[in-house]
Amino acid sequence: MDLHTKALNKTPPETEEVIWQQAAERVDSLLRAYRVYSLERRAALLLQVLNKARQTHIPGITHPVELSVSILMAGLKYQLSKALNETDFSKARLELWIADAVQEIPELVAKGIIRSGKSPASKIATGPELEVTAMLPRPLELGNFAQLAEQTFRSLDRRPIVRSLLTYITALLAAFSLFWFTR
Amino acid sequence: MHSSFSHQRIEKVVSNRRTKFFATFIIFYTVLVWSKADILWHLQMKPLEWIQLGLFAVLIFPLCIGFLTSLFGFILEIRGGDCFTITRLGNLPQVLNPEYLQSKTAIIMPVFNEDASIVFERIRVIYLSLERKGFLKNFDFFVLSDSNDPKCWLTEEIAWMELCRQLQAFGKIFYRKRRLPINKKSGNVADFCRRWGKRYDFMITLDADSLLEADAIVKLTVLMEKNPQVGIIQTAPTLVRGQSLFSRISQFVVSFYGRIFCSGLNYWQMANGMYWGHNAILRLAPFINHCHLPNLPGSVPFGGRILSHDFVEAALMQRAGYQVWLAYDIPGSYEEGPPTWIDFIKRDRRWCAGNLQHFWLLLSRELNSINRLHLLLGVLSYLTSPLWLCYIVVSFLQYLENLRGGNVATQSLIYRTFGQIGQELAPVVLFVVVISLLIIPRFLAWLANGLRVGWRIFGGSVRSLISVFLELLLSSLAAPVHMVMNSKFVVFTALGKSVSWLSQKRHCGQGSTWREAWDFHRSQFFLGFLILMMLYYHSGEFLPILVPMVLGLLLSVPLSVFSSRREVGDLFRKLGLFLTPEETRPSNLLLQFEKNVHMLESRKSNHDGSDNLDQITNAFIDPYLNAVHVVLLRRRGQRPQKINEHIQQLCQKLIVHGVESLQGRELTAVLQDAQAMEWLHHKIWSCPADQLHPSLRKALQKYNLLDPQPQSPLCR
Repeated sequence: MDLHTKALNKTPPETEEVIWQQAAERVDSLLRAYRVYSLERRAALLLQVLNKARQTHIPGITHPVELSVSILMAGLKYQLSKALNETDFSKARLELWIADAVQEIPELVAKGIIRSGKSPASKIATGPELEVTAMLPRPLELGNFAQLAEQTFRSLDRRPIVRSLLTYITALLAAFSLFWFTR
Repeated sequence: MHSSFSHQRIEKVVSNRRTKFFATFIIFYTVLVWSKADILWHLQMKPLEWIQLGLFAVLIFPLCIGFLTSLFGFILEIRGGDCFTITRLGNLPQVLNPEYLQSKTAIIMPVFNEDASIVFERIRVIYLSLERKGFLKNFDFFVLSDSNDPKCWLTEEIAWMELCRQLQAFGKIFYRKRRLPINKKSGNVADFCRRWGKRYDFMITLDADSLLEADAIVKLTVLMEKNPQVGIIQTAPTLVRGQSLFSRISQFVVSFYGRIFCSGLNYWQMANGMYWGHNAILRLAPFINHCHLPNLPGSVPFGGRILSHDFVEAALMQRAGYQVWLAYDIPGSYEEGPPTWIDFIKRDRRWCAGNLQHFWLLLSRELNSINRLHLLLGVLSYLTSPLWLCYIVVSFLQYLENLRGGNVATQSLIYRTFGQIGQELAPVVLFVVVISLLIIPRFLAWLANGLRVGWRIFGGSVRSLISVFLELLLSSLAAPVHMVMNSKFVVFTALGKSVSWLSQKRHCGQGSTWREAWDFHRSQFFLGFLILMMLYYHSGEFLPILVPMVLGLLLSVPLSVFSSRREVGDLFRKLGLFLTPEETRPSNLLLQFEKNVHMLESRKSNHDGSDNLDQITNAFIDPYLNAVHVVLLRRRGQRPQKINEHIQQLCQKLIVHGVESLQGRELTAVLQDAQAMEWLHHKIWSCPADQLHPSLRKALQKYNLLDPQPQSPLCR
């Protein structure tokens, strides 16, 4: 019985077909993540990527999943950099999203969906151009009492035992006063 | 500059006004303290009597100032308003055209772990209202984030991107997240000033719960343009969107009593006003040059970094020779209050530490006397709580002493409590006068509102009067709890316990639970019970005097729960009680904002709530969310190999053991690294399934199950 259950739970052996199936699933997921909703376009792109992956040998990359995803990402990067004149892949992806032009990869420029260099993504920044100024603390004359207090605080910070003793003495005095008045 | 606003004229008016106000104050205050002293002097002045007199003199000081401020404000309001406000003196044109504005203003909103969707909805309505009026070209918006919760941070980024996309507002609305939240809110604003302050003439500061009408923004900007001697103009924000009974009462108090108080405040402070940290406009050049906060003597919590920065910034601005005005007559400035009593008290904990720290500045020779008075009143607003407690204890001890001396039995109850001078009525009269200082301003406000704008917008004359009585009753019950809690906070501060920086709760939700209220208020309940037992067994005659206090402490738990409930707030609204003009006649901006928030909330309730859980994983996986995050991060140059290796190890750990395996700081380190974020995005997608942590595998599979919409808090 145990043997039978084990056999059922066993994952299928990682044959080449299974691994390529995983690669296809992953590429499909990635295309979906890019919001390529058209099944036809996704299928066409998937086929292109897998065919290219089967023929390509990239040093250090052997697993079909890694190979296929790398090819898809490199292709997207190339297409976007060509279409948007943007070498930063992250910025290019963002531009794609802002322009709502995902469905049109890779004919973005050809169809006039994104005009190179005129996209709002070029304005994406944490702020306008920096104009740095020095904002330095202005000293405030707090008087002799504050200076004395500062010195006292500093010396108390250096002497934790004295500080604790003072706290206890104050508490004892308060307790004694309370006792004295309520006795 | 207009002749009516010349320095000489202002100085003359200020001098006259302050003479009148403070002369009245001195007479009033002296009479009260003298009366108390007289009552005590009729008996032998023993140490307890001296202590009582000293405490009375301190405690009565802010009460007198508050009462006279309301009284002067009342007189001004019934006489048609103050002629010497910044809006009347400052050459404000009747019609505001876009051509008037020549300046460039930054509208900044510092945020810390807030609900991003609500924050950006606020920006949306303000942006659109300015756009409709045609003034948009003069304003840029900045959301300045110090959020240390990664989920909040990532949500803010997406919300910002989505808002810019929807409004086509790239280059007009900016979002900046600091890597290290140094010096908290004041540091956040200072960081903005250092980076972009030079590009703008003025800066309008908003809190994460603020709203400003376009008209108010434009009026503030025009006033700043036309009056170069003005450094800060503070509006008087009214509380809005209260749902629980507590927040509805709070907004009624601000709306109903606030007007005469602000009017009175402006009467004596005029160009030496206060800055409350938000809903105000500041002149950037002097702010940058003169208002960066110095450190105080000693270390936190007594000294060190200034926690409560706004009052000090106003004082520094005035030291630099600029005026600070309270423009309480500019409508359309709103904020939200804490939704529950517990949240209110928690906020007080932070404010208490900040205000007590201002003690040092009272000693400064460089601040003017009005600034010092503001700071002193701030200190006293918390310090008076333990002093009131001491006063009650001293009174009780005095009573016991008299009881022991045998001179009590022949005297009346109130007499025994408040003085020892035979059969005269002086103690009773003094007691009534002191209580009146708290009660009379409420009725003056009722009268002034009726005469000024009519009671209808507050629910009618009778209903508004009932609201005043109810508010009086509830605030009397709440006062002892505030006294006990503030005393505790003062002691904690004195013992050196520092305050943690937490984001404020903005929505009442289901309100406080019984468990939460019990955990929070049980110490007050037990204290009330203890006092009750003590008085009952040992000195029952003292009990009636302390009934309001004991009752407030004993009822703190149910009061806290019921006042936090939305249903109770709604019930009072239906009864026409605690109504405010913002509820009876809301502006278009408020209506639009409410509509948008309602839409967001209904969307949230329809959602399965998985957004938040997946938000961090999405930042690694989703191509667009990852891109938004990476683009907003600053690229680092060369850095030590050790750091690179450490980040690499963290990334590997994340892939193999999942996001949960990283500690908070480790996760933040990864999220703050653009290269690591890009690498992780590529690596997670290209990693074979058996090498990925199940949570990441599941996140990738999600795209196979459904076609997800971009995860955005502002999706519409």
